[in-house]
Amino acid sequence: MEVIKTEGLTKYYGKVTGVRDLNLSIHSGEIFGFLGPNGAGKTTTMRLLVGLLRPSAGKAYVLGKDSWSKRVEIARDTGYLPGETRLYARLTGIEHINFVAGFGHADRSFALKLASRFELDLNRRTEEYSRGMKQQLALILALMKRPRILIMDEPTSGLDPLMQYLLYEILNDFRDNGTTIMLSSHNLPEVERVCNRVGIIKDGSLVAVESIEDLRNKRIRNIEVTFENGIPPQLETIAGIIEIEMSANRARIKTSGNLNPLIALLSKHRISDLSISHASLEDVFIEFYEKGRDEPYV
Amino acid sequence: MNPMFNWNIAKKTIKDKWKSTLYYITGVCSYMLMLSAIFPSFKKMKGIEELIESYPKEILKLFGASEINIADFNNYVTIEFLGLIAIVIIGAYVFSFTRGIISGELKEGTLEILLSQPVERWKVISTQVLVMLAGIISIVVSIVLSTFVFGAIFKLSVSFLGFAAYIPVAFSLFFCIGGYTLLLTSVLPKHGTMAAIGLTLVFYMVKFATDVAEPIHRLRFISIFNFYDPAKVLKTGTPPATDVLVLIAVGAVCYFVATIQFERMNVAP
Repeated sequence: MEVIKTEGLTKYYGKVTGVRDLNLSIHSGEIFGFLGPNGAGKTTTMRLLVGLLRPSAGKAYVLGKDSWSKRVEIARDTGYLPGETRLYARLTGIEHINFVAGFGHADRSFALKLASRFELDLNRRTEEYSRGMKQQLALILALMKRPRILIMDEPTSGLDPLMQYLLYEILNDFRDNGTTIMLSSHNLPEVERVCNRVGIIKDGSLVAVESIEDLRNKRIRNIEVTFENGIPPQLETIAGIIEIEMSANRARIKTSGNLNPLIALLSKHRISDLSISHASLEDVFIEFYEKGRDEPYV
Repeated sequence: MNPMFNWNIAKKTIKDKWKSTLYYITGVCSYMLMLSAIFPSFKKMKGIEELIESYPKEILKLFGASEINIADFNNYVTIEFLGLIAIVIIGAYVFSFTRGIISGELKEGTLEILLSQPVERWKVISTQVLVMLAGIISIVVSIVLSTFVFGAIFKLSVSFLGFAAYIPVAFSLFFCIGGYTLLLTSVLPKHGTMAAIGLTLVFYMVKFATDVAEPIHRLRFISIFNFYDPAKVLKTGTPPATDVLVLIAVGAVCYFVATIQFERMNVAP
């Protein structure tokens, strides 16, 4: 069942394009990652979905309802985390929770449990909060409705690794309870960790929608290896290598897909140094989406 | 439950504003205390009436006085307070309050959190406007009550009916100012408040100019201050129904258009 759907969704800010002709479909119970560099249109799409922005053209539907004209009905079933955490500076954490609970459709005691999991002090004014604490409170405000849909713009922004891990756990709990989650990020490993499917947006247009499995197969890694006894000649013949740069005993390799053949070859030689890093999202765009999807990349 | 009212937003607005409202009330009451305390000595000053009479009539009109008799406490309060100072003080309250309703929340980015809750946008406005109107009434009533109290303490001849009649007149003026300020902040979130302050000054100057310059006297109706004459109200003891209705109608239209504008507004801090 489709719970979020857009049809030719377009938003212009004057002459600037926010998103253009976006066709998206997110199904019940999935965690959908919305990937793209800064300014790609992720935040605009999310604001359109929760009825904060009015589409210039096209339509967005959440739970089958028009996101602009039925925004209040949608808000009852949707938790929204804005991209930039802005809270009422003079209110304390608990006053924020009481305020959101006061609109109904939210569970105050659940919010307190979440605050306890985040170990967040609710008795301080938010002007005294660190960036991470503000993000935690904003997350609690979005989650406390126990919504059917969660729309979260960069949810791990400002969180330390421990809190990020806790958030992933919480999101998995929500998904297990049937919540559909759409989250944006510009961090590929994060999206791989929690999402089922990914939409990639660039310059306001959706360039691809992939399952995580497909994305993993396409994943680019940068490997730098230093051999003790020279570079083996078979290295260049390994499948999946996109680019290789060799100097003396050191090889810089850009590869995608299955790493096992490369590892098997490396295991047969003495190595003095090895580093593997994930390519940046920009590299993924350049390799897969700017060259054109049908173009072979090996 | 009043369908125009969201109690949750009202509670938060009251929490945000009660202190500043109290400061304004304290300020206007203190000012009335000062005026009332000074008036007996002022009245006894020799030559004060001649001095006032020596001023050009136009200057007195600038302070809202239609009569020169400053020996009358009601006329004195008009010149020293209701004609100009009260407009500045309560006007500042209205500008500051109205600024927070749309442009302040938009600037702070908190509007995104507020509007992602299940509440109609028009109710966000109507609730805060109702709280602001309650604040305006509190300040105006405080002026009137403090006049009665200090008038009794200093044995002054206060026009009770006149001051009671002043309440709807002042309320309608600030209702109107709040209306066009909200409208301007909904259309120009960044500069709306400054535009409203400028417009109010223009209205005041137009009223003054059309009062003193016969050739443009007919243009007086374009100023909202044409419908605000505290000296006349204190003298007659009757609120001019037409003036009050005109101000309420102009304000109501502005609130309505501002609400429609807010309903259609893109919220992107």
